[in-house]
Amino acid sequence: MPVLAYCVTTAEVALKVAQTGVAGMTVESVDESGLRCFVSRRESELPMSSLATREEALAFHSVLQELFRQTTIIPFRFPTLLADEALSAHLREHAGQYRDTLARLKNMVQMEIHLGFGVAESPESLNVSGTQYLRRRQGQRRELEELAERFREAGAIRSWRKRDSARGVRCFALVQREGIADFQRQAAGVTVGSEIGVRVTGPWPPTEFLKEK
Amino acid sequence: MSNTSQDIALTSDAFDEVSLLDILDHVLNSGVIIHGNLVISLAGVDLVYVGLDVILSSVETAFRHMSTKPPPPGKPR
Repeated sequence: MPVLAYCVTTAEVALKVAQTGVAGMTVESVDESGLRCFVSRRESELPMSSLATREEALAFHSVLQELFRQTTIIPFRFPTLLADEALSAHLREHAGQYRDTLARLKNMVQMEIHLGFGVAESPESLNVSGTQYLRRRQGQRRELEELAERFREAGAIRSWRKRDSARGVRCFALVQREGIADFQRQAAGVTVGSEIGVRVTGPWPPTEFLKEK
Repeated sequence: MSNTSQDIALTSDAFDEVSLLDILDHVLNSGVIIHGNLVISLAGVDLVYVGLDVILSSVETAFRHMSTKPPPPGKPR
């Protein structure tokens, strides 16, 4: 029977989870090689199309959030559907990697900072030459990089990663679960130029840090 | 943030329209991908990704044309 996989955690932790998850399916756990994987078994009569909706993505998120509030989790992307035996085989094969990652990220959460200048303007809309436009974009880019650095220095961060986004720069901070409030307070103390938009979100499961750099 | 622009500080628990985008972005783009066959559905038709990014085809067509077994699960990412 196909299963929808939510996340993996260690088998030692006792966790409470909602009875129902995506599409009203029961959430259950599967133990394999010292890991506990939360899944829903897809009833054969349940059409695939019923899973691929915004509501079901939110239901998936709710299950993850409930577990994430209790412990460190490694989520699967939605929707990860696979045969029961394929999931067990995957967990068996990669049990060591999962256990090491869960140990490394134990009690850690991911906070995110989105920095950007809003909607990108074209040279035509600004009524400037291409060179001037590119210089302006370069300056904005530098400003965002410097601001990202100020955020990085502001908080008690274990690890820091950043990457370009469509609107600017997206920064990921790995912080201790107990340090969330401190991080938010320190982030709130960073001075930001009036043209720059900033959004701080989290805590999220530390998915950007699954791979060690 | 000491800022005169419009700042929005959110948590992932805030189910407003802005954080909805964040939530969808996370569930769809973050987390482990199991390499192999991923079945998704579009307009009521089950589709299968072989190797996730190589082929996108209907399940029926894929099974009709596939003579080999699906690739083994890969590393978590």
